[in-house]
Amino acid sequence: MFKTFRLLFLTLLLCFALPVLAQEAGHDGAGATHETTAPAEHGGGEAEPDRPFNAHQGTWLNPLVRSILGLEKPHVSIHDGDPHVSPAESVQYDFLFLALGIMALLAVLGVLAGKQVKVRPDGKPTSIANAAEAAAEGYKNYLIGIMGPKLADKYTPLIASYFFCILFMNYAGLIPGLMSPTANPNVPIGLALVSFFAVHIIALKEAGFKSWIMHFVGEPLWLAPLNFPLHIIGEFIKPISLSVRLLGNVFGEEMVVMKLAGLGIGLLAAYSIPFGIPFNLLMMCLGVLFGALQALVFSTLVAIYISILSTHHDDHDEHNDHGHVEHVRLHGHEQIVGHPSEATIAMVAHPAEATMG
Amino acid sequence: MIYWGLLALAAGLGLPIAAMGCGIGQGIAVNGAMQGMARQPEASGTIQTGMIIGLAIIESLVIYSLVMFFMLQGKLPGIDVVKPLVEAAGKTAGLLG
Repeated sequence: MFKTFRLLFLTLLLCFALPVLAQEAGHDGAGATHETTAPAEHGGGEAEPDRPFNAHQGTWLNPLVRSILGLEKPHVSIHDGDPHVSPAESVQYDFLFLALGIMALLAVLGVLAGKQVKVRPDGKPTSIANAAEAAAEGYKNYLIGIMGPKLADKYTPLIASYFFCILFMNYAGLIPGLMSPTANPNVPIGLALVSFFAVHIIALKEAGFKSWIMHFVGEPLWLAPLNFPLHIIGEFIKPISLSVRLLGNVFGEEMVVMKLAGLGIGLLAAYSIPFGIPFNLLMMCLGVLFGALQALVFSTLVAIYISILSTHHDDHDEHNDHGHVEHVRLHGHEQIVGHPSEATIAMVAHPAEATMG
Repeated sequence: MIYWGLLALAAGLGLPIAAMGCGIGQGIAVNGAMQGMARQPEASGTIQTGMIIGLAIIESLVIYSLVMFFMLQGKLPGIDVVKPLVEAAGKTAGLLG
């Protein structure tokens, strides 16, 4: 009891102290960078240290990553023939490093869990295998409710990887002084691009070329000249909206946390007290909820896109006046009724618990 | 001068207006989902999934305006640009001498 309490206290202390250190480092770094950058870049205005998507310093991981990768030298790129030199501080690799690290961690965990399942000695699973199995199976049951058992069997690995990867990336932002990799535009755009190609390749493989093209032509054939460009534009909007939704939510949350931490520090700094009031703690608690929610929404939408394009076009002509989402829900429901396995019904009754488990 | 003022107003007011609309929309969506769940507790899982997806889609519109807010905020001038303009305007009006 006492030990748990002490651990909690230490964690809270870290939560207070590390933002202060990060803030200090950020201010020093921004000041140093400002002298070296060309002022013409910033449109005559001041170079703000926390300008969106363009922070000059990055998190405390950034210097570490740069030194590991050997990137302390200034970055030279060629624009219109003449070389453009930007200082080493303005080149960020920490989000990339963090994202790749999280993916590697998940891969190692997966391999470890898989191996331990194989050598299970007395029929009882080890704890890591048990946890991984519960998570994967819970997610698969959730997907069966959306895509139907056939598609879910095949594509759970892809979509569940999206879920857990985004979940861990979002939660990395809760570690004090770190920022979620998904708060940098490059990561969500990359994830959404992969989903874009995956959706169409899976649709071509599952339903065939004719059904795939008929999804774009639309239902009344004489309206095809109107429908076809609209559907094509819609397909390109999908990855953009996926990535912007994830980016906006995570980045907005990170910015609010940063501003609140700065507020708490600034209030006490007036009395020269070297730590802050943890206003950001409340927002970080909300961040736990939002991180899971955004991961769920991203992966669910990918599942829905796959199941929309991968069902045969003739199957659902009668539902055509419903919206796409509603239609897929109906479709999924029919399939659940068709195959009433016990796990599926339990899953549909409590998707949140099973997914979190 | 009027340009900067309008830009500041747009950056400041755009997001709250979008958030207002989003609040109303999400309220209606959650209202419907909650009523459905209260009437049919056994269907609550299905309703919940649909509700979360619907909420995410409603919310994404506000996220677009959040992105627009950041773009507009990047265009806002610093104090060193605005101060001479304000002083000049004050001089013309005879306020600052």
